[in-house]
Formats: sequence, structure tokens, C-alpha cells
Amino acid sequence: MISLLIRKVSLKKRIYSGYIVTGIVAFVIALLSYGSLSTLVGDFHSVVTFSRYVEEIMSFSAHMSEMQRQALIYIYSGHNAAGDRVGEIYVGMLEGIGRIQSKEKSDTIDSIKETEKYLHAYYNTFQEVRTQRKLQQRLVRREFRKHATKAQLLIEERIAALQGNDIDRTLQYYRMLNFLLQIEKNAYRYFDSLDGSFVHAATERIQETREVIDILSKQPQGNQRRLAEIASVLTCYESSFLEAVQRTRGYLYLVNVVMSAQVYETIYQAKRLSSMIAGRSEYIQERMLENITTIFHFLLFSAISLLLFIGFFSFFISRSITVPLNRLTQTFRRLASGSSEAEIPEYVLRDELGELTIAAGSFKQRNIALEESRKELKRSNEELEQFVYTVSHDLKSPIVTSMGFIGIIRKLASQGKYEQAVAKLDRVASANERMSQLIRDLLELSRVGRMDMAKKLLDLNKLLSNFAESQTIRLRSSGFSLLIASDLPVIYANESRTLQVFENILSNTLKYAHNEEGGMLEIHAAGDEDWWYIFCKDNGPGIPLEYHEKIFGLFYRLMQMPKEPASGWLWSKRS
Amino acid sequence: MNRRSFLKKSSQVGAAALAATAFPRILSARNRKLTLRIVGTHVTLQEKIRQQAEKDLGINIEFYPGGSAEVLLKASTDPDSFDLYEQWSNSIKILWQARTIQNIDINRLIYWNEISSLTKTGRITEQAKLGFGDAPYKLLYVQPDDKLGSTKSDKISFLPYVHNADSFGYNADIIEQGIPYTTESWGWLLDKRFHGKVAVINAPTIGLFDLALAVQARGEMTFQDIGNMTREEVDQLFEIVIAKKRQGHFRGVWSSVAQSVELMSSDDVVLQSMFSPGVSTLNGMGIPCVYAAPKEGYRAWHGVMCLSRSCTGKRLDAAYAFMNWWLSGWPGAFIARQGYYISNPLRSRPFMSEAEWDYWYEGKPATEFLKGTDGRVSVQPGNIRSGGSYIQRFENIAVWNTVMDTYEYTLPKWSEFVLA
Repeated sequence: MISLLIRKVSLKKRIYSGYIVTGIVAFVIALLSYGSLSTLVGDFHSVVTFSRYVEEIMSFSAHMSEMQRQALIYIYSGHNAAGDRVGEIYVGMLEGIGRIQSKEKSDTIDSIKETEKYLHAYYNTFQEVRTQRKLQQRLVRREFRKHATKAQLLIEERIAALQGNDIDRTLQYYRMLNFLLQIEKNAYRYFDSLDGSFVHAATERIQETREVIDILSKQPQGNQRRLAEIASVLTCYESSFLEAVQRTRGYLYLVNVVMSAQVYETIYQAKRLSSMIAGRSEYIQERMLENITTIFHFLLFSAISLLLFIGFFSFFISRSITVPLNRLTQTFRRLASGSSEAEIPEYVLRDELGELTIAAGSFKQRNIALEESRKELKRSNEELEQFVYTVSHDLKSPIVTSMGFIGIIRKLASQGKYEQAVAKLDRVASANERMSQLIRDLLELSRVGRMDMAKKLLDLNKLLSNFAESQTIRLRSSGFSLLIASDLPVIYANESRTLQVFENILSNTLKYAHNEEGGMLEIHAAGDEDWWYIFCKDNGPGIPLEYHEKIFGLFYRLMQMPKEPASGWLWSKRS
Repeated sequence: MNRRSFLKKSSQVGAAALAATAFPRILSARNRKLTLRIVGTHVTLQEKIRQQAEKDLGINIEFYPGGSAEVLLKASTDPDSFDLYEQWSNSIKILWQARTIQNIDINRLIYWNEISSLTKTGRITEQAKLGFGDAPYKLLYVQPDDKLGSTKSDKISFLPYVHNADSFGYNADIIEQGIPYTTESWGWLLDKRFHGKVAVINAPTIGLFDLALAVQARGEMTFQDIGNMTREEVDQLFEIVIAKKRQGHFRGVWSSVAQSVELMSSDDVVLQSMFSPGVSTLNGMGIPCVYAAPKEGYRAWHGVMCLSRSCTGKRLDAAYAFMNWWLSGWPGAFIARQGYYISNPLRSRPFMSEAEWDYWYEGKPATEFLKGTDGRVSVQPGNIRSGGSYIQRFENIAVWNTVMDTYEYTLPKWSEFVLA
């Protein structure tokens, strides 16, 4: 993962993606929280709404009871205000039902309709009750009284007409009056107490009155017309009373039986409706609690998961940054310490870290160059030391020789042996000549160190072919043969210094490899995947293995003869 | 019973059919487009009956069906609004007292001699129980003093026709079926096993006796005369049943047969006062409602057909024709298919199949599918009518539906019970 990020995603993108992912995670958590809370809010609204419904429906029971109470007040006391109050409560309940119906679902609509149906039936019945009661009141207060009064007046009129002349008949009329009073008394007792026995008593008295009328009618001196009139009024009196009784019974039945059942059923349906809605409310409350728990767990899980994701993501992002940075730091530390072998971490992208990696590479190249310079300086110092030593030693030798012969010459001159002394001057000159040669070689050596090092591709076949041609006279005069292989490579090198190498090798060979059979030098080449190896072979005495490195020392000579300076090997190595 | 179609069409005036030769006196009435107005309950005021009557009598007939209280109030206060009144015998006292009905001349009743002794004497057989309350025979004859009594006379207060013995029904899917006249008891109405699942009919002159029989069956109180309770007995009875109601024993009351069917079919109720059509309907719906044969006896009722005080002349002739038609056979056979009996059953026998007669009147197992008045199968082969034969059922009458002297006193008590 980290290596993938390092290889594929640039530093900026990684940092940006970190912010973006964190933002997305925060947004997702917010979105989930919003969604969850929206559901809870919806459920909460439902619970509140259901609670209102339940409250409203439960109020139906109170309203119905109040309606019935008002209806009974109206029935038993006749207060119209109570009757009107029934209508007001009815309208209020209908409005409540309407409010619920407009928002309720199908599973409760049947109960609502049932409630409404019973409510309508109740009110219609009450309207009928009002009608019956009004009729009853009209009968009791007007018709019944009117007929009672009329019958009384007719009887009293007859009593007055008799003027006490016919005691028996007068008494019969008084009996009728008494019956009328008892009828009235029983009738009102009935309407007050609603005891059916008073109806029975009243009808008994009516029947007895009729019997009196029959008795009087059978008497020859009876006023038949008046008696018939009294009988007619009595019939009307009885009819109005009995009708009032039946209307009383009627509205009593309606109130106590029909309306009571309607009240009960309305309340029952309201309770059932309330129970259904309360059940739904409880279900939603339970669901809400479950949802809260689920949402809480879900949010907790989501938050932990997302935070873990962010943690892992941040870890990978930071690691993808810190790992190459640490590596680069290590590298830079090593580079800063001058190491030229510090490993440059692989980093393929061209971002800031890529630039740092490239900088580290440059740093390393510089360190390598410095190392090379340092080595060169060291080698140079070593060579200088050796040079100083060698020069001082080698230069000292001809000087010593020269000084020796000068001493001998001085001694011989003092002895007067001038010829011998002069003869010795050649030896002094030879020593000086050698010292002079040594100084020229030193100059040449120093010049080699400052030579132009411009390199180019060199075809050794061509280069050495020209070289061999330029050395033809020299080789012929020395009786030396130079054999150059035909498959030499093309190399990248400085041309003049390369030629110098082969010249030095040839010179040394001419000096040291010449034997009686003549001299011979062969030049070959062989290569592997990385290097070309150029090697020279002569027919000289060879160099023991232990001298292979030493021969590259300044002025080193394996043997004294021929006494030539050995700077050629050193030179060859430098080249 | 096709109540809906009846309600839709009850106001329509049917076309006059050919006059039946059996009722020649009505021909003139038909020719004058006479219309007979009949007020009553849905029990008998059914559209098929109306159509058949119009067809047989050749007159226009209008039915004004309504609730018991509604029609009784109408009949007891407005005799001009009807010619005939059909309800139950417990309305006779009120109507007679209200003087809104007139007596009926038995000499004009063609089938009077065929009327069973149940109506005339109160006993269908010599060994039959008389039954408490206002047995029809006590209210049948108009006495010389214009009161109603059992002494025979030529004038009667109502035409005896449909009647039945009622009890309670229970759902045999839930309640183990009892043994008729042995274990089945009115006391079941107050049995705690059925707590909250019991209903009674919403009528003090009927349901009150169901409750009284239940309380008495459980030994919680006794009555000097269950058919005419004193105020103290009424108080004690309601004290018991109101306490039960407050404990939630009763689901409620029902005010129509349809409501009783709905209560049991919806499982709100498993045991309740019932009428025979309700039981038939439930059985037709596949609900095994058993119409109990209580060991204490039935609560019986008797249908009454009354003549309005205002019915005179040709209308009176038409009314008599209609009354005679009711006893002429077809109506009795028709009404038997919803479990009701007619006062002269033999006249109806030719209009019934043997299987129907055996099932409905003889109490024998049904030998074939029997259809109800609505044309749907209401009795499966092998079914036996609970309580046995017509004779057996009416030998076991505990009480008749009655308007007691304490009627007004029971009304607020009933209200208290209903609302408790």
C-alpha cells in the first residue's frame, strides 16, 4: 500500500487526498447522522401526532358523557340550553373526527367511521327526543290542561244549573269533579315520578268518570247533550294524557335505551380507536427506541470504522511521506558526512520528494567526485612523498657520484695527476647528465598530470596502426618487431595520453625486453560486459608477481640495467 | 332476509298483481288503488313478503320498517299513520292503553280456528310450562270492560301469527357445546370464562329478562314473579349486572340482528342474546353459532298484528285480508325458513318441503341443504335445530317478553347498565 502510494501518487495528491478523504468521511458521518436523525424526527412527529389523536379521541368519551348528561338535564328539566349544548358538543366532536379522518390511515378508518356513525345516530335520536319532549310538553301544558279545564267548567256549569235541587245528580257531578282532580293529580304524579302505576290510576279514574256519565245519561232528566259534550271532552282529555304518556315513554326509551347504547358504542369505538392509535404509537415508540439504539450503534460503528479508516489512511499517507523522507534524511546525512556510497532511495515521481531524491543523487555524484579528488590527492601526495624521496635519493646518487669523483679529481689534481683527474671529469659529467635526465623526467611527469583530459571515442586499431607506422624506423633500427591485434576495440579516452601509454610501453620494452633474438611486443584486447582489457606481451625477462604494483612507482626500476628511469610505468598507470 | 333491497324498495308502490281468488273482497280495493300502510320491524316487514302479498291480494302495500322503539312510539301516538302494526306482544299493553289500536273481530279471521292453543291458552300442550310475564293469551281477548284478558271473546287485541322461543347463542368454536335442556343455561351469560365477550340485546323488555334468568340461574337472586318484578327486585338485579358490567364482563349491547351478527363474526363476542335469524346468518357464514336450549327454559316472544284505531272502511277490509293472508300458508312457510313459527303451522306445511318441515318444526336432522329467506344455504344436511321440535321448545318457556309495571323505572336503570 505504502509503496504503491509512493510509486503512483505524488506528494501533493497524497496530502490533498488525505484532506479530501477526511472531508468525505466527515460528510458521510454528517449525512448518516442527518438521515438517522431525520427518521427519528419523523417518528417523533408521528408519536406526537398520535398522542394528540389519542388525546382527542379520549376526549370523545368525556364529550359523549357530557352530551348524555346535558341530554338528561334537558329531558328531566327541560332546559333548552342543555339541549343546545348537546348540539354544540356534537358539532365539536364531528370537527374532531374530521381532523382525524383527514390524516388517518386505512386501518383505523373503519373505527372512525363507526364512531362517526354512532355519533350521528345519537344526535339524530336526540333530535327525535327533543321533538317528542316538545310534543309531550305541548300535550301536558296545553292540551291536557285545556281539556281538563273544559271538562271541569262543563261539570261545574251543570252543578250550577242544578242549583242544589237534585242532590243525587249534584253529588254525581261532584264525583266527576273529584275524579277529574284525581286524574290530573295522578297524571302529574306520573310525569313527575315516571311511575306507571299513576297512569293506571289515572285511567281507572277516567273509566270511573265514564261510568258516572253513563249513570247520569241513563237518568231521564239528564242533559244528554251536555253529558255527551263532557264525555267527548273526557275522551280528548284521556287521549292527550295517554299520548303524553306514550311520548314520555318514547323519549325515555330513546334516551335511556337507544341513546345510551349509542353513547356506549361511540365511547367503545373511540376507546378501540384510541387503543389502535395508541398501539401504533407504542409500536412507533418501540421502533423509535430500536432505531435510536440501532442508529447509535450504527453511528458508533461508522464513526469508529471511518476513524479507523482515516487513521489507516493517514498512516499510509504519512508513511508514504515520512518513509522516503527518512530515507532521504539518512541519505543526506551520509552524503553530508561525505559518503559517496550512500544509497539513493528509489523514487520515480517528479514531485518534491522526487526533486529531493534527484538532489541527493547530485549530492552523491559530487561526493563521488570529491572522493575521487580526495583519492587523487592522496595518491598525489603519496606520489609526491615517494617522488621527493625518490628524487632526493636518485638526485642524490649522481650528486654523490659527482661529488665523489670531484673529490677524487681534487685529490688527483692536488697530487698533480691532472690527466687522471681530467679523465675522471667524464664520470662527473655523466653523473650530471643523469641528474639532468632525472630533472627532465620530472618535468615530463608533471606535464602529464596537467595534460588535457578531453576524451573521445578512439578506434585502437586505427590509432595503433598509425603508431606502429610512426615507430617503423625506431623498431627497425633496434631489430624489434611490433605485433598489433586486428580486433582492438573502440574506447572512450584521451588520444594523446593513450598514445603516450603505448610509447612508454614500447620504450620500456625496447630497453628491457631486447635479447639476442631481438625484441618483440604484442598488443591484444579482450572484453567482458563492462570493460575492455588491453594487454601487452613482450619477450623480456618478465616481472615477478610481487613487483606488479611496485613497478608503477616513480622511477622504480626492477633491475639496474639498462639504467633508464622507470617513470614510464608510472606514467602508463596514470594514463 | 334481504334487508337492503327491502329498504331500497320499501317506499316503492308495487304494481297490482292479479287478485287471488281466495280474497275476493279485496278486488274492489285494488280497483280503487287502495294502499295498505304497515308499520313494524324488519323481522316481518320483508320485501319478499310485501311482493308476495301484493301479488296475492292485488293491493298496494307499503311497509314502514323501523326500530322497535321508533315504531312503537309511532303506533302508540299516531294511529293515523298506519293501518296495521306488526310487533311483539309486549307492545300490546302500551298500544291498548294508548288506545291507538282497535279490537279485531275473530269472525272475520278465516283461519282463526286453526290458531294453536299456545296463543289461546298459553300452553301448547297440557304439560307445557305456562311461562312468566305477559303470555299472549293474557292479552289476547278484549274483555267486556274493554280490558285485555284471557277469557275468550269474539274480539281480540292482535292477530297471533309469528312467534319464537329465544335464548342465547354461543360460538361452538370457542365454547364447548353443551347439552340442550341439561347443561346449557342462562347462567352462562354471567360465566367468568366468557369475561368481556358477552352481549345482550338492547331492550329492557327483552334483555332485562335474559339478565334476570342468568342471575336466577346462577342462584344470585330469586324473583317472586320474574315476569313482573318489583322495584326492589329491579334494583337488586341491576346492582348485580351493573357490577358485572363495570368489571368488564360485557362487551356491550346490540340493537339490531345485524349488529349481533357483526359482534360474533368479529370475535368481539362469543356468547350473547340472539334472535333466530342472527343464528341462521352466522351459520350461513360458517360460524358455528349454537342457539342454546337453556335448562331454565326459553324467553319467548309472540308477534302481534294490530289494527289501527283509524283504520276503517275499505282499508279495514284490506287489513283483514292481509291478516288472513298471513295465516294462509305461504307467509308461515316463508318465515319458518328464518326459524320463526306461525300460529297455524299446518296451513304452512304444504308450502314447505318435507325436509324443511322436519327440520324447522319437528326438530329432526336436515336431510338436505336448506335455504334461508335470503336464498342462501343456512342449514347443512345432518344439522339439528337446537331445542328440538316446535312442541318441545314451547313446552319450555321460562318467561315471555313483557312490559312490566315497573317499565319506566327500569329505563334509567337500563341506561346505567348500558353505560356502566
